[in-house]
Amino acid sequence: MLDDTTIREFLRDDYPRLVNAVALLTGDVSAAEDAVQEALVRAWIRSDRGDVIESLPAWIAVAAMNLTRSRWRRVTAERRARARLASAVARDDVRSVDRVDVERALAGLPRRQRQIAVLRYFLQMDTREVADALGVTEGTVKNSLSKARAALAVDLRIDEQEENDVEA
Amino acid sequence: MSKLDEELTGRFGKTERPLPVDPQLFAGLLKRRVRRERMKRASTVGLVLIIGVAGAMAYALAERGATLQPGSTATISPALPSQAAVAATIPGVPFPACHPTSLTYFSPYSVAGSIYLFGRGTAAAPCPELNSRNAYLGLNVGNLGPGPEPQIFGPIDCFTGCRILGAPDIDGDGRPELAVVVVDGTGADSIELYRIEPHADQPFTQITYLAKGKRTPLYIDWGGAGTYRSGAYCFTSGPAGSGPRDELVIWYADRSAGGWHLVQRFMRIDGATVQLDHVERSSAVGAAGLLPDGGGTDFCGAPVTP
Repeated sequence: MLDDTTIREFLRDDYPRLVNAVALLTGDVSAAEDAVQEALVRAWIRSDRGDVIESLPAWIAVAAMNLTRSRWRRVTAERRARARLASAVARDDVRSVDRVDVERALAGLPRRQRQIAVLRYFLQMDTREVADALGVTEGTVKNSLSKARAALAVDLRIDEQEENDVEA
Repeated sequence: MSKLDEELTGRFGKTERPLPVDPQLFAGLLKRRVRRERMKRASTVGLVLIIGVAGAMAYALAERGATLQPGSTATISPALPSQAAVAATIPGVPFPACHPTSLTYFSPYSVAGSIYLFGRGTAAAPCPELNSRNAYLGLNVGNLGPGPEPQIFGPIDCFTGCRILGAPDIDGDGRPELAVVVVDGTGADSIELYRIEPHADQPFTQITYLAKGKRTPLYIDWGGAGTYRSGAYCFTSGPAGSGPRDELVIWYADRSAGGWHLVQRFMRIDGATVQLDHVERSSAVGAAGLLPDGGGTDFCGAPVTP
């Protein structure tokens, strides 16, 4: 059962990271915060009922990502994201340029690939953890991840030749 | 990890933006949100279950010749939760009692007894923190001698901690109600109220708020922090030509735009139900003189331990 200490530790250690992860999907920090908080409330209520949540951060991450799928959240998030992307690069720092590049690259992926890429590369979950969190097979994760990383490499102009050389 | 994976991990990592979070404050806000959700559920599925049995109280008390006192009253024992890590024993309670708080109670027939709030513990195990799955109320009238077993009621809504606050008479009928404070930890706890009915099968009835035909458990914000204050008080009034009317006034105030703004909700009380009568709003530069009593050490005439 979630207790006060667990919640505080989660808020201190995991909450900012998870909001950032969901924001990568939606392009909107406010919507991401909203979704993570909503997911946390749901987790708490589930725990109160006696449900066991093995990995709270993973559960929250996936629940919050799923919450952002509801239409109004998506529409709102995308509208805000478009408005922000238009001006963000010019006024923000280098770190934000990176963020905008990654957000743009992610935006070109199908949702499932986007979700898997964020879980894998931002939250640094391994393929087994991603599969468990999403309730799919590891093979599905590897397949989606393979497509996602190829597309991301192109969009982010990462030299795949070098990659191939290294792997060879 | 391949070089491309490393590169992607690095690029994704650079997207992180700082999000300063105050875990203390945020946890409090979150708890309130969880409570709101749970209140919604409670209004539809019913939060409170009854376990235990109601004894033949009147008969037993008549046999016992309990102490007589003028009228039905309650006085407060130290109401802070016990820090004991091991469960205590309350006579007649069929399980170990954790973090018990109690108050002395005199029934409408002026028979002395006790009201308890305690957590359901497990033999030879450390006490769990009180929560909404293990917190119970007990009522034992006539327990000054070998009395009947207490009536047990619950589990009650205790969220992540609760204790007895006091026993005010909110409806002015000369009989106390039980006030339980649910600990929030942010400085603004909330109070839930129960009618005490020692001769009924169900010894406690949670007082509910009725609005637009929908009934939800009544919660009163209590206390405050920073720019927020809240509390409640009782008073008796009535329009000219009519009899006195008892009302519960639930208020909150916040500071913004250079002043304090007070909102008072006057609630009509009818048995275990309260309904909104009217709302009054006022503002002042300073809190002194604007904010009502209550929310501190007094609640409808009953001294309490905040």
